[in-house]
Amino acid sequence: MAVGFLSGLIVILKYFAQEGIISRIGTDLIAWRVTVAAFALGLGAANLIQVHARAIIRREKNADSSFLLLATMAVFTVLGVVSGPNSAAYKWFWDNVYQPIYGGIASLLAFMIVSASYRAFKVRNWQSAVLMISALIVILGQVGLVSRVFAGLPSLSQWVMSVPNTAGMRGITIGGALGAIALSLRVILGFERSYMGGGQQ
Amino acid sequence: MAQSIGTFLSGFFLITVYSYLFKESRLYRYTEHIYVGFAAAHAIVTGWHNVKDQALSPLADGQWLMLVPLCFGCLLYAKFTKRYSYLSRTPLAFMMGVAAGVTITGAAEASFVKQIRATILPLNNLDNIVMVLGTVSTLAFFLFIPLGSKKAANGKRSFMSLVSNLGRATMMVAFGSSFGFVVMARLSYLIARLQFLFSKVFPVISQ
Amino acid sequence: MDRLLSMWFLVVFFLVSVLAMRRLSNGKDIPIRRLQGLDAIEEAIGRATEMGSTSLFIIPGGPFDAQAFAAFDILGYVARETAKYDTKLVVVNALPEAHAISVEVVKEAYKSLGKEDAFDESCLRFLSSGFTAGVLGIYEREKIGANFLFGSFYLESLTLAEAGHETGAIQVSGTANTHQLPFLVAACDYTLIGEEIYAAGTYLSRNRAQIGSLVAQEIGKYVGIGAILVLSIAATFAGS
Repeated sequence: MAVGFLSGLIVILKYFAQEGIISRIGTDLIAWRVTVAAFALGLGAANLIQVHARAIIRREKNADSSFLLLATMAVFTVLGVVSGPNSAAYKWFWDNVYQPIYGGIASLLAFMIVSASYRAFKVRNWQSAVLMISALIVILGQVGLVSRVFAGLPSLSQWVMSVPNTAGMRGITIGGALGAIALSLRVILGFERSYMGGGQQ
Repeated sequence: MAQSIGTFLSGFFLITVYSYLFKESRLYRYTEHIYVGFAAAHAIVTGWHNVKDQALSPLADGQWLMLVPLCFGCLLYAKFTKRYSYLSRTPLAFMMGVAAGVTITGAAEASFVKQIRATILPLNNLDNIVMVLGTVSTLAFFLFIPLGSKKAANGKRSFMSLVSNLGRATMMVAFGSSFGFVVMARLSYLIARLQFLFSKVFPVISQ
Repeated sequence: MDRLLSMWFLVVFFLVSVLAMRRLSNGKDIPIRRLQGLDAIEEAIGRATEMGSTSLFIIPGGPFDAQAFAAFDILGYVARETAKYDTKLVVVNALPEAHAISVEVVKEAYKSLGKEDAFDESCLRFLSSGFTAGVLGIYEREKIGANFLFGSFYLESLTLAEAGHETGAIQVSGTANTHQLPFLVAACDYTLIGEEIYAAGTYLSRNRAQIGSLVAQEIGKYVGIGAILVLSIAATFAGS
């Protein structure tokens, strides 16, 4: 697929060219990708309509929920396209329907983290012991009462976060960068796009 | 009035989300479907305004090049035709190509060169020694093509396996400390949500 | 300075990759370190098949980048395995472009096994930014036997992995987002860490040309390790 190869190559050259025609084309390509992705939203919407309209037509068990989803999608799409996402009506629903659900889902994490901690801190081998000890140091280092008893704990907690934590994450980041470059290169060269009719698997 | 209804709705949806923790109920299912429907609508609205502002308006002003992304976008829908469905792969290849190019340049500078430069430190104190050895050993943990693998297979501890274990230990310290840090941050987020329920929503309901 | 260094690094990396790809495409096999997480995929799907349950594949809504490409590679393998065993597969996407590509990946997997007719596009679901809530609902409504979470996760990772654990499914995950790795490691049975997800496609396909780029990656790591060690030692002596 020459399109994938050329677009990838130009974007790379753009990064180093800084100015000139390649730079301008590269900047355009990056902006165009966003526009093309916006069209892909239509495919996503078609998928939602297909899945949920089918559930309604077949009167499946959760057909009522499917109806609710499609109705919500239709109402807010029309409202957002006609009056704009910054209109008072759209913003009211955004603030009082979408945001609270988002906030609720995000805060579920606090409950999940308790049960996950229970399993993560079970000592099965030396690795999980190291994991548990370092987690405890950081947790207890932030609890005022414990810090008052063990005066060195807050500074130890800070050291763990700024030195070994940074070292571990940095090692993963550097390795990850090499992996991302190698995989992206394979994508540009067409080795990883067998599902798109090119390259090889 | 609108504000009270809004506060009531906010509290209602928050409680239905938390109901998931006990059992998936009809209420949670309705909330979930409203949320997914709203999220999809919002994505479409944002997408539409993006296409209008970034492509259609410039095209109307005579920037003919904008026809390219618009045509690519339309080609995505060729998949609904049997005969021309292969054409929909062109815009997909375009998006992957651009994303690959952006990834390569971003990773090379920010995640490779800059990170390595930040790790070049004089080994004259404990912090720097831990930083350098921790980073290097973590990196060595990810070596895919083993050197001296025969030794390792025979159960002898090679130098590389020791380094790799040091890397594993560094990662475990990093994971554990990050985990602990987030435990505290998430608990404060939950407390803020509960404070909203008790100080704003319940007074409205009780009125 | 950094940009110039990156440019030279990329030029050398590309040359070494292409050279190694060409040399290895007809050469001998190179052994690759075992990646338990990827070996476990087959076991997880096998168990889901035995239980008559669904395999779920989640691609999150982080930026559309190499992590998404890696997820497509693994999805291709998972789809071929589920097609082989006639197990139900559900794929959830948060990004529209990733959804469009996932459809092609799964369709191609079914086609490669001559099971094109068994492919049902509604098994792929686009949930946009509402995908965390949507996945939690899927966990409850479908019987999940194998749960795969791959890509650029943000704060939803632990909610999805922990609630996924409650379903009793075997969970295999992977991300290069360092801030989310601790949670996936804690809540999943197997986790591919950082670079491992990018190598998944090569590991699963054992394509020799692809192994060529893995060789370049290895050389890159040795260069990185060497540069840090040598220059740090030099900085120590220069300072004293």
